[in-house]
Amino acid sequence: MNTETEHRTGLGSATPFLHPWGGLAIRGDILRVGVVAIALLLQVCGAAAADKPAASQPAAAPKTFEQANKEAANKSKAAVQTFMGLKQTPGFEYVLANCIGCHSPRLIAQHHLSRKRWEETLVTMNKKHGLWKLSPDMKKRILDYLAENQGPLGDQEFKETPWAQPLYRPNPLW
Amino acid sequence: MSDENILSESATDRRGFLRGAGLAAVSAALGAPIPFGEHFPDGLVPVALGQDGGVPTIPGKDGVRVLNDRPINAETVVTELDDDFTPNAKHFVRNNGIMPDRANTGSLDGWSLTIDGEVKKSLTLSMDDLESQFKRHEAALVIECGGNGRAGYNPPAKGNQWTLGAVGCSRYAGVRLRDVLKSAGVKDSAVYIGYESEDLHLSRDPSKKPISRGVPIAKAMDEHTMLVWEMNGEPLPALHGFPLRLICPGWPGSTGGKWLKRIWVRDQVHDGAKMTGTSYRVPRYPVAPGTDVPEEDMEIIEEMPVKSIITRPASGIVTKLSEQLALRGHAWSGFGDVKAMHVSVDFGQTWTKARLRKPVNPYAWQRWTASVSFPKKGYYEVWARATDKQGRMQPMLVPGWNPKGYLNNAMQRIAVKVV
Repeated sequence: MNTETEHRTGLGSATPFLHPWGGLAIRGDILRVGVVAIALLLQVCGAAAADKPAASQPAAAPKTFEQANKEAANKSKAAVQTFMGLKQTPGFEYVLANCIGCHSPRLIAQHHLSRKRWEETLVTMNKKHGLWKLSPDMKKRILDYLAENQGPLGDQEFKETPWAQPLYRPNPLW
Repeated sequence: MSDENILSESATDRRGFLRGAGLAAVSAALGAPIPFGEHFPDGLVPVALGQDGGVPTIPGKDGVRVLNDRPINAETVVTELDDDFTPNAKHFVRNNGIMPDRANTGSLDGWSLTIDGEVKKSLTLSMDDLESQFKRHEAALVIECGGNGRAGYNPPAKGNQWTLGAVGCSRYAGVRLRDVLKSAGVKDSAVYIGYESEDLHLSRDPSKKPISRGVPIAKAMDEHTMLVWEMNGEPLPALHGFPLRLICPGWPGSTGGKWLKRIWVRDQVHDGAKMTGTSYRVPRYPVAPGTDVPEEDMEIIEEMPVKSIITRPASGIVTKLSEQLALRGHAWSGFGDVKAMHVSVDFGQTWTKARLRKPVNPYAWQRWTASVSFPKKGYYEVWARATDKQGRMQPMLVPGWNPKGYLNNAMQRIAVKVV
């Protein structure tokens, strides 16, 4: 299919990027220039800060119980921009285009599944819930995103709850 | 960042944003089933999606944590479940589809309840008929989602990642389902009932149903199974099934349909949406975590197991060595009353009996209270454990893994620092 080929080619040259404050669509290649410039600036500032002696800094206070809990709860909140819980990393747009017509991104964001289970989910969505047939290529792109961003969590980041958590495991619910 | 009201105009506005953006995103946001996914234009990207929209909120709800806004799924923060009876504002919500317009308008125009199938005489009842022809019945009933606690399973199970709060115990008023079924005359061929409701499938495809479940005829004829139109003295709220819902207490919440239109008496096990496959089913035999279980080896969940929550204090509390710590919560079981409640502050080595109130009626939860002291300063956990009449206790760890993550009745633990 022609459009499919064009799409794939286009993706390689300019990664779609979601503009955080709206209004304009920015191509990845233009944006990257800006990112590099900001990164350089930060590096200069960082270097300047590092020159200052650190001796005057008070020794870090031991973590309090409350702080430890708060940190544990915040740990899985990555720096990357999210939309209703979904990370806006490459491939996000395909999930947006194919999945959120019916259900919220939050339904996806709640799940941390293996690639195999995600693939089963796409099959169920197609068979039972009205998802159109995906081309193998589109299916792969969606699965790549889901496996990368919504895969099983490691033990440390396993569960985020809004209230403080006991520090002993192994009951993973809290 | 302002909060995001998931029922308000802002939700529409958010879609409005999309309208000016990528064609694909527009269609996606409008819910129009256009197979554009193959033709998503490169470079033309949805704009104004950069903001997460803040913490999602639901008007009329308080103390809940939104897990999903389409369909709406929200659980109650466990400390907000402290009331003897859960107020409407704090009751969890588990919707499967799109709420019918009627729920939002509150209109009874054109509404009726049909009882048909394996009955001697089909009935079509208005709300007035229900109120006038049958004896009013009131009860406080626990409704718990079959997937409450799903977040505890590893490997993670599919479905809303409920932690502790997909449960509530409110006071309901309505009629006994059996009185209505008797009026229609249940035939000997009756095996099961299936409900049908006015909500829409998320795809808006009218040929699909979001959910249509039910119970065996014996449970339908149980004296505690109710059709209700009042919740805590108010008309059933939109989110909870206006104008009428079914409650089959002690069984998964999904057995009680909301926005009810029809009770279909079946001559076979009901085979509506989410009755078959793996929905609300667990393996017939214990399986290792992560096992692929054939669908034919899955059986329908009936009674929910014994369970309890700690509503006071919140986990993470700091308390003084010189002071007693007061604990309280609720306990319930789908198999009848809870017999005993125990707490431990030494990681389960010794247990102290808590005070346990009798339920106000069968299938209401029971208040438990306890007071504990600590031998020295340090980090403690309070564990709380209910035991049902059959002698079955809540497990310390998550119970048997199952593919859809149902029936996690593991003990709740809270962290306490004694200074």
